[in-house]
Amino acid sequence: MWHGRLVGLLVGLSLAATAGTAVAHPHVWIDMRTAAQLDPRGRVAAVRIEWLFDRFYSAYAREDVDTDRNGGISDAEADRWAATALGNIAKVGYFAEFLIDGMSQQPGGASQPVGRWRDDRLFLSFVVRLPTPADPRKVTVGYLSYDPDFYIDIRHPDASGSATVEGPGHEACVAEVGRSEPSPEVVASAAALDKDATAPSGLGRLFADYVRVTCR
Amino acid sequence: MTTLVRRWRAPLVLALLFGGLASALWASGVDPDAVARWLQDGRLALQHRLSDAMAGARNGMDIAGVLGALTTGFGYGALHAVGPGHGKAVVSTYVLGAERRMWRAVALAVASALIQGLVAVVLILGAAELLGMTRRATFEAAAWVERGSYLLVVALGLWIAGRGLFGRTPSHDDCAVCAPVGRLSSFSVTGGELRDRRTWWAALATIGIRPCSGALLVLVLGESLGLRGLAVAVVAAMSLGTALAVAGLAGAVSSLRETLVRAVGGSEERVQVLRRGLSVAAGLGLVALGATLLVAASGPKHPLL
Repeated sequence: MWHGRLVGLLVGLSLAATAGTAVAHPHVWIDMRTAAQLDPRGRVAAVRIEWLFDRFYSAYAREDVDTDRNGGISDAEADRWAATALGNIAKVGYFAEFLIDGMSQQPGGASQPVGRWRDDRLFLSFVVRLPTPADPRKVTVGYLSYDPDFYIDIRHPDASGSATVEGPGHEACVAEVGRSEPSPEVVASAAALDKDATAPSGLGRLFADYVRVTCR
Repeated sequence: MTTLVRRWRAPLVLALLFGGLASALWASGVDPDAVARWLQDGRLALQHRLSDAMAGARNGMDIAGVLGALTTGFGYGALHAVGPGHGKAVVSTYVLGAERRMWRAVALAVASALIQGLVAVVLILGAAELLGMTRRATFEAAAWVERGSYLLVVALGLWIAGRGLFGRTPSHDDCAVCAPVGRLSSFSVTGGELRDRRTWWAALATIGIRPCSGALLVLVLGESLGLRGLAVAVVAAMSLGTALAVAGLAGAVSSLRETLVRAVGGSEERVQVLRRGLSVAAGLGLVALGATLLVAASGPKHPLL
C-alpha cells in the first residue's frame, strides 16, 4: 500500500514544483525617469514617464522606427513610432498604476507621445493622467510603472533626481523612489476595497519601483 | 538495526543539512523576495555590462575588450540559468523521472544549452540574412518554434509517464547501480538501455529546439552594430555559462534520484515500484509544465514586441 501513497506524494510534489518554476525572466530593460505633474490647485494630476530602452531592444525595434529605410532615424520617424507604441500599451494600462489612499487605480488616459533616437537607444516619453487629481497633502499619492509579465524590467536608475515633481508649487513637494513598496497589506486592502480595478498582479510588480509624492 | 541506520544515513544527513540551512535562512529573516531581487539586480548589471562591451567594440576591438565581452556573456549565461526558468524545470523534471545515469543527465544539460544557442544563431543568420525576413518576422518565427517545443514537452511527458505505467519491467541488466557504464558496447546494449538512449535524444531535441531569447537579442544587437562575429562568439560564451549552471542542477537532481532509490531500495520489487513511480510523477509533471508554458506562450503578444 505504501507505494500507492508514495506515487501520489511524488505526483503532487512534481506538480507543485512545476507550477512555481514556469516563470519568465526579463530580457529587456528600461532606464526610467518620471515627473509628477501638479495642477494649479497643487494636486497630482498626471505623471510624465520617460523610458530609455536598452541597446538590445533598440536594435530590435530599429527596423520599425526607420520607416523610410535610409539607415538614419529622424525625430519625425521616432515620434510616429512613439504614437504607435503608446496605442499598443493602452490595452495594458500604459504599464502604469496609481496608488491613491491605498487604492489601486488605472490611468484615466495618456497623451503627448514623444520618441527620440539617442546614442543608439530608443527613447519614449508620454503623460499618464490620474482618473481624478489627488492632493498629496490629504491622501497618500504614489505610482508605479512596470511590465506585469516582467519581460521588461523598468526601473529608475539609482542616481537621485530620476523622479521629480513639476508644476505650480513643486518646490514644496518631493518624489521618493522606493522598492518593495507598497507593503503586501496595502496591496491586499487595495484589492479588497476596489473590486472594479484590475487586480494588481504579475511578477513584474514584485520588482517595480514605487514612487511616493509628498508635499509640505 | 545497523543496516537500517546505514541505509538511511546519507539521506538523513542531507535532509538535516537542507532543513538546517532553510531554518537558518528563515530565522535570520531572509526574505525570498529579497533573494529574487538580488539575483535580478545581478542579472541586470551583467546585461548592462554586456551591452556596453558590445557597443564599445564598435569603435575598434582589442583583446581585452573581446575577452571582457566574452566573460560577461559567460557570466550572463550562468546567471541567466539561476533562478526560475523553463529549461531548468524541464531538464530537472526529466532527470528526476527518467535518467538514471548522472553523466547522461549532465550531458543532456550541456548539449541542450549549446543547441539552444546554435538554434538562435541559425534563426537570426538564416531567417534574417538568407530569407530576408524582418526582425519582427524572425521573432515571430522564434515564438512558433518555442510553442512547438512546449508541445514536444507535453509529448515527452506522456511518453515517460506511459512508460512508467505500462512499460515492461526492466531486467536486472538495466540497473544503473549494478551495470558498469563503460562496458556497454553497442553489441551488448539491452532493450532498456536502448530505450533510455532514445528517450535521451528525444529529451535533447525537445529542450534544445527552443531558441534562447537572450541570445536572439544579443545577435540582433550584433547585426545592428555590424559585429556579427563578436555576437556569435558572445552567444557561444553565454551558452557555455548556461550549460555549466544547468549541468550542476541536473547532476544534483540525478544524484538525489539515485540516493532516494538506494535509500528506499532493498528488495528489487521496491526499487522497480519506486522507479516507475518517479517516471509517472515526472511524466505528469512534464505534461503540466508543457501545457502551462504553451498556454502562456499562446497568450496575447507583448505590446512592445
